[in-house]
Amino acid sequence: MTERWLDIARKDFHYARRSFLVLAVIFIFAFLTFVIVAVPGVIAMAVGEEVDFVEELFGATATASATIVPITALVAAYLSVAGERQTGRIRLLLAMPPTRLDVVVGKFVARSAIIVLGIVVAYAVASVASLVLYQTVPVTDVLWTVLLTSLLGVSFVGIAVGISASTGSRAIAMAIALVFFVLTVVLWSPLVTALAIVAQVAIERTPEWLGFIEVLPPKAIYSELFDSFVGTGIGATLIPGDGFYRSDPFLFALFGSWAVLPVALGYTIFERADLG
Amino acid sequence: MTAINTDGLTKRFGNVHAVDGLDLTVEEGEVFGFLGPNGAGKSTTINILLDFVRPTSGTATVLGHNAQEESTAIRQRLGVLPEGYDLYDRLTGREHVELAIDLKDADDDPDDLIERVGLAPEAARRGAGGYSQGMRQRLALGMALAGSPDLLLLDEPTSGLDPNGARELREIVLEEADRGATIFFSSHIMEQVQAVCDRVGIIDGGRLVAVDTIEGLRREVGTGEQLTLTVDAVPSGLDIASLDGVKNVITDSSEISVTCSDPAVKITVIDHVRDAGASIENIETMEASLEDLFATYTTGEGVRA
Repeated sequence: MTERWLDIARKDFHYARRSFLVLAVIFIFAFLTFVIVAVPGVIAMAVGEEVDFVEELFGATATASATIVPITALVAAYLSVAGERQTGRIRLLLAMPPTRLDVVVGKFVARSAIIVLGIVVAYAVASVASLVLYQTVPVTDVLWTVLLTSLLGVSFVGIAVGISASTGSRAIAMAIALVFFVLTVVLWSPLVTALAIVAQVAIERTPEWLGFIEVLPPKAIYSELFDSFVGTGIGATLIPGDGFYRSDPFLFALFGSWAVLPVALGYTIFERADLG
Repeated sequence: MTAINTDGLTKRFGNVHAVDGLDLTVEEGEVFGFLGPNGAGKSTTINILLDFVRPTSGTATVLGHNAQEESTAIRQRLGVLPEGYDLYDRLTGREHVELAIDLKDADDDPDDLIERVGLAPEAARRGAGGYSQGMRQRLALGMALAGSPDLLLLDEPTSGLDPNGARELREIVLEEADRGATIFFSSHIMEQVQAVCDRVGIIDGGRLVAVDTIEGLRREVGTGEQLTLTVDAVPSGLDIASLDGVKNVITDSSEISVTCSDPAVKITVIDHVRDAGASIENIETMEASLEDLFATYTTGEGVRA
C-alpha cells in the first residue's frame, strides 16, 4: 500500500510530463544557464581573451534565477488545485479515498519535483558546458547554487500551491500569484529603498526593523544566502545590519517557512470550502 | 445496518435551502432510486454524503461512519459516479482506471473493468480528452466499480448514455446488487429508476416528499388513466384540477394531460375544456404511469393548471 499523497504526486508528475510542463521547465532553465555560462566565455575566447571569470558566470546564472525561477514556479503550480476545482477533476479525485490534504501535499510534492529537476538538469548542462569550454567547473559553488535555487523554487511552488488551494477560480489564483510576484520579486527592493529614504528624511536614521523587512521575501533570502555561501554577490542588501535575522540558520528557517506556511494556509481554506 | 442515514440534514446557500431537513434511510443491500427534478437537492445531498459540501445542520452517516468526520473510511468502501466531474484529457482511459485501483488499494484488473463497462480496448488506450459523453460516463463508472465497493453512489449515471448504454448500466447495477452492494441511484427521470430500484425516494424543494417501493408507488397511481387532449389553444382560466377524480394536470401550448383516478371524470374534463372555449383536435387515453405520479409529487416538472 502506498501513501495516497504519493499516488497523487506520481500521477500529477506523469500528467505534467505528458502535457510538456516538465519539458518546458527543463528547457527554460537549461537554456538560460547554458547561455549565461557559455556565451560570454565563447566571445572572450573568440577575441583572444583568457576566461578567468567562470565563477562570476555561474554567479550571473543565480542573478537570472532569482527572477526566472519564481515566475516559472508560480506558472507551473498556480493552477495545481484551483484548476482541478474549476474543471471538476477534483470531484473525481475526492470521490475516491484521498483526503483534501493528500491532494494538496501530492500537488506540492509533484510540482516541487518538476522545478528541482529543471534546476538540476540546467546546472548539469551548464557544468558540462563549462568543463568543455573552460576545462573547469566551480563544483562547490555549483552545488550551493543548485541547493539554494532549488529552495527558491520550492518556496515559490509552496506559495503557488497555497494560493491555488485557497480559491476555486483560475482567474483569482492567477491574480494573487501575479500580485505576489510583482510585490516580492520586482517591487520589494525599490519599496524598501523608498522607505529608507523617507526614514532618513523624517528621523535621520534607518530603523533596524527595515533590515528585517528587507530580507523577508524569498528572493531576498536567496540573495542573502547566495552571498553568504557562494559569495559572488548577486544583489547585496541595502540596509546594513547584523541582527539575528541576517544569520544563515534564521534565513534557512525563513526560506523553509515560505514553502510550508502558504501550503498550510491554503490547505486550511481548502479544507473548509464547499466543493459544490 | 443502514447504508445511508440522514437526520434533519439541512444545507443553506445564502437564503436558499438546497436541502431542508432531509430524513432519509437506505438499507444495506437495496437498490434505492433518488428521484427529483433538477435543482431539487439531489446533488447537494450526494455532495454532503461525499463531504464535498458541509451541512448547515443535521447529520449524515454512510456505512455507519459520519460523513463529515470519517470521510476517508467511507470513501474506501464507496464507488462513486459523481455529477459534474471531469477527466484528465491527457491520461488514457486505462490510466484513469489504474489510478482508481491504486487510490482504492484494490487489486482489480483494469482491462476487466474496462470490458465490463463496455469501453472498447482501443478507446481505453487513447487519451480521455477525445471521449464522447457516453464514453466518459462508462469510464467513470469503471472507476467507480474498482475495489468492489460496498456502496455505489451513482449521480445521474444515465446522462449522456444512449438507450443501449442505459440498458447496460442497468445490467451492471443489477449485477452489483446481486453481489451484495447497496446502490444509490439518482435521476430526474422515473423511467431510469423504476426498472432497477427496490425503493424510490422522491425529493423536491430539498425535502423528501415520498418514499415507497415501486409497487407501492404503482398502487398509489392506482388504475387511473391519463387523458391527453390536443387543442387549438389552451384556454386561460381553465380549472379542471379541482374536479373530483382528477389527480394531476399538465399543460403546454397545445396539449392538456390529465391524470384521472376515476375513469368517469374523463367526459367531465372534455366538457370543461370545450366550455372554456377550446376546440379539441385529438383525444388520447393511456394508463397512468409512474412518471405522472412523479410529476404530481414535484412541482418542477409539470404545471398544475
